[in-house]
Amino acid sequence: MLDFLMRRMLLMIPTLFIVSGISFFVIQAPPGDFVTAHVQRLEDRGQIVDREAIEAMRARYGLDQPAHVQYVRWIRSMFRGDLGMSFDWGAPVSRVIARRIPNSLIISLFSFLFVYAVAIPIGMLSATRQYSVADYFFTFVAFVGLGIPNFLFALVMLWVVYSMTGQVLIGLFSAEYVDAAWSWARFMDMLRHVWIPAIIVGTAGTAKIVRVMRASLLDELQKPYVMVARAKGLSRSHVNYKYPFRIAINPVVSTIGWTLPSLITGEMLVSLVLGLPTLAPIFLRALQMQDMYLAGGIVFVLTLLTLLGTLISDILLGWIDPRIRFSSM
Amino acid sequence: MSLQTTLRKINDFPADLIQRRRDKRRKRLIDEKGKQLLVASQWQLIRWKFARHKLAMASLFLLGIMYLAAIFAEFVSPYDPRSFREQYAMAPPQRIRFFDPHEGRFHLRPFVYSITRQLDPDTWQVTFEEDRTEKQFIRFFVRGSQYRLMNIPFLEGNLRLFGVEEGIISLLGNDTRGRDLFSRIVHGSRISLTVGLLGIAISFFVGVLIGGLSGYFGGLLDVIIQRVIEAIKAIPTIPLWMALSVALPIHWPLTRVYFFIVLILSIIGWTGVARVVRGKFLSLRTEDFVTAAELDGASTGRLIFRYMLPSFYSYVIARLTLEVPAMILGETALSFLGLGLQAPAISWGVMLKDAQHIRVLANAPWMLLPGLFVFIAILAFNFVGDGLRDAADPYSNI
Amino acid sequence: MATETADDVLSVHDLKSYFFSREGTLRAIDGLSFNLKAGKVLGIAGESGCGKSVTAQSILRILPRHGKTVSGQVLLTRDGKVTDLLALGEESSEIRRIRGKEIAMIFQEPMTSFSPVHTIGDQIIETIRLHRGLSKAQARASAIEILESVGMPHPSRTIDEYPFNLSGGMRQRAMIAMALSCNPRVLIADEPTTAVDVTIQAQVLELIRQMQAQLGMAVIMITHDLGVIAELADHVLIMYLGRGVEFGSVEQIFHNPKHPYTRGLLASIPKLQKGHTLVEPIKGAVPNPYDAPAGCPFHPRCPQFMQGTCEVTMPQVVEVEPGHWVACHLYGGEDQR
Ligand SMILES: Nc1ncnc2c1ncn2[C@@H]1O[C@H](COP(=O)(O)OP(=O)(O)O)[C@@H](O)[C@H]1O
Ligand code: SF4
Ligand SMILES: [Mg+2]
Repeated sequence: MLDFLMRRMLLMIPTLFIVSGISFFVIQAPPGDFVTAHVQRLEDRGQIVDREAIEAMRARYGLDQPAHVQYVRWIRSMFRGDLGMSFDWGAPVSRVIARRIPNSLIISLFSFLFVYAVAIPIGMLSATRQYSVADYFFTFVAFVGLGIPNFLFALVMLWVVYSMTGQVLIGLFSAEYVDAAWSWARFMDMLRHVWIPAIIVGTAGTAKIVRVMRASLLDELQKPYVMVARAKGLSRSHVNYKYPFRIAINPVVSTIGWTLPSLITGEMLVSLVLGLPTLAPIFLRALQMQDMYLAGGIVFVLTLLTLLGTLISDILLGWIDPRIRFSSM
Repeated sequence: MSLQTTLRKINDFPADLIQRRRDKRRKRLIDEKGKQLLVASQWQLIRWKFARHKLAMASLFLLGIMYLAAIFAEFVSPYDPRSFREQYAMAPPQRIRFFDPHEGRFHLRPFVYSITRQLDPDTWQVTFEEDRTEKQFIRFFVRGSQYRLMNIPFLEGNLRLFGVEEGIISLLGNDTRGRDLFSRIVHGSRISLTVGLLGIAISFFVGVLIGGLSGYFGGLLDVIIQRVIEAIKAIPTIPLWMALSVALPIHWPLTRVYFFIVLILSIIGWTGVARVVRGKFLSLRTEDFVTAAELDGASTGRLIFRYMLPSFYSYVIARLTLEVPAMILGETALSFLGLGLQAPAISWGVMLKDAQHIRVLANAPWMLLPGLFVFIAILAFNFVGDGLRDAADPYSNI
Repeated sequence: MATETADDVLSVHDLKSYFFSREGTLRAIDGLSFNLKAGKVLGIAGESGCGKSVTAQSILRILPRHGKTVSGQVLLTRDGKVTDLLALGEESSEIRRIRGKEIAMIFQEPMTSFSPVHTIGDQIIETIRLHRGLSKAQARASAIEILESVGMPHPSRTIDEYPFNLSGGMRQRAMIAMALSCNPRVLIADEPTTAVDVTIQAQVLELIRQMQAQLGMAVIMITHDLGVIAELADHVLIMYLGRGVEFGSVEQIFHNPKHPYTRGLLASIPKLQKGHTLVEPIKGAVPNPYDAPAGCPFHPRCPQFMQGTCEVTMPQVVEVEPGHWVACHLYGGEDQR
């Protein structure tokens, strides 16, 4: 197991480098550099621009140097936890991200819990009662969930809630807690709000996991060992619970790897529609303002999170499935 | 006893029918000869299997209609999708009627009531009233405003599929500027429905190329390519797409932006294909017929394109169909955020962008309708993809 | 087929098990009868697809969901008490007490017959605890003992192995150990040697023979290999398309076969060489079970086919000599159905 873990971690290193390269490409992609964009903005506002200060700024960030030198600089500073400066915010990128990331994580975490808590039982029900009314019903619901993009779902919810209650479904906190510091009461207040975006974000994922669970369980239910277990005298429900469910879970666990990025993606879009104070609005603004170190930093951090998620799912999988654990020895 | 008789009744007839159909298939398969026809029969098998998937067939049919409408958008839509008609701004969808309760009689020809705009003097709220005394019959193949089909100079005309003689017909309502939503949705499908197809075409070629290289040559190249694929897969799609699409210069012409958006959307899609192709190549390299061709002195390119690819590209295409929804979604999301195609362009995402404010939503909820079309298209592609995958899967039986 | 006697542990009467699907009804077992005597070995033979496995599954009532036993009787005699297994609910506690305890089964595929994510010990101990009410530690000790008795090397270590870490032969030994763990009255072995190496096959058969002698249980040995039957069985049932076509003692079947199908099967194994695969056994193939031929089901392939009789009426089962039963028009008897 330890061996398996080590190998898994080592594999992540080259991946991380490539990801950092792509993130840096994101930073470099827009024409000009962010100082140009900054100057442009100042000039638009009619401010006087100090040419010397600009050049000093360029030199400080090494913008006058070729891209690969800049990349090495960027990577180097990254090891110190420094992701560069955000112009727009006048603060280090890491600090801007750190301020907002808890909200993003909490929404993603809740929708993650929602996805699996709902999808696994439904998948089980659908498979053990194949072609029953419940199966058809949930299959239908799953397809609807699959077809509706979550930002659209958010828009529809916004409209439904508004036309029914006159309330605008926006924000993660009640008015009195929006700018308050973290406290127990603020946390509880957030819990009251977080479930709606969490469900909206989770719907598409739920639909996919239901289908994975159903297919994998149907597959397991017809394996010989199920009949063997029944021939031993175990009741059908006991057999199902102990064997096929247990094994059908494995492919579901391996979906964690791709559920996480899709939840993060979904969280971003939904946050933008519902005006939630997560990383998403900052990211969009950073892109619009060409605050590229911030934008690239966010891409990098999000990817880091997904890689972490995949790692966790691999560890989980190795832990629950001896075949994987042993095959890597 | 009664169970048995019932079951026999239910089951005996179809069993016979299926047997006969099977025999027919077998005969057709046997009739064909030659290597070239062997491939054809593989496709035939796929067609038969696909045809059994009813939902997939229905979806394919629906998509066919949608693409036809996209091609002939100018003809299908009653109005120019860009013409503002402020007097009809935010007019709701009209009900199409056959029965006139006012006259108390049926008409074979469908009609709508005329609508007029009313302004509430106190609240400044705009409402539209139906004038029950004034019917507007829907006419087919009418002369409407001038257009150029797909902007091709010599395809000018003014024939429209349907329209009314006076007033307006608004099947799906109007937007905040009085533009006809139906016409806009039909025109928008040109972008929204083609990004996916173009995207998987690009993904297919890039994926087959890179996956083929990776699987065929193996070694260090393979290791590097696999790492890169893994890294790309780890990056959350929408943020990556968003970040790349802001890099497109604002002054670019629409078609170029469109093409680059498709390229951006394909950045993720090819990785899945490459993985499959690589896996197949690795296993195919040891197959007899490839070895035989190799011994015959077939060139590498010939080996790949003549022998290896045909043995699994149906499968790859099926897999790719399942990628189309993500690309449709990507275009919609990017345009919705204002990062992809921008306003003079019409796509479902661009239209949804207009609907994102709660005030608009509250007064004109039909502006969410482009979303319904996104939904339908995504579902249809999912079903078709499922059907294709089942049909192309070499392990599933007939 | 065969008369009932007091020493039968299991007797099957007019068993019918069908599969229902979109394609129609598949009559996997269509009126099968036979008896199994206490402490004896009954071999069931027939080409693949003739319903041998479905017979075993019908007896234990563990058919897959879309399969149903639609009529018949399966009588189990325990200490003079007779129970009709088909009268019990499929999930009733009575049938569950019989499965694994009174009637145990060995399956063909030792790899897929164990759950891949549980150790074999876990799966054997589960059976023991279910039927023998032992504590965990006692059950484990008992499992090790049984593994030892079936010749598993290092039983106290292998008990904690996962199935994929064992060789095919060892897995089949573990399977046998699991089946024997509760001292069953009847053991059904469904092609126990088909999926293992030729060298292991003899060992597995020898093991079953040994254990049968040791525990005094009755065995139903299902196989498509007549060599196995000749070696092991006391009585033989020959099946074709879900029916029994001939039943008799092993001498009767091998030295005086009556049914053309049995003769065909025997003729196709030259000199009963062991481990020999059948070479083009009988002309033609087993017909599509969705529409079995009218009359005698074997008639399209039968060399002694009699026009006007065989394809019209189903032959009745007749006793051609004491304890030797055949269903064929060559031996008289008509108009069943
Ligand atoms: N789970 C099942 N579903 C449908 N048909 C089955 C199933 N199991 C067996 N059958 C059918 O029942 C018939 C008898 O099968 P089986 O008893 O497995 O044959 P064998 O004698 O080789 O063991 C075959 O025609 C087979 O196709
Ligand atoms: S009944 Fe007729 S067809 Fe059937 S086995 Fe006997 S002789 Fe052959
Ligand atoms: Mg069998």
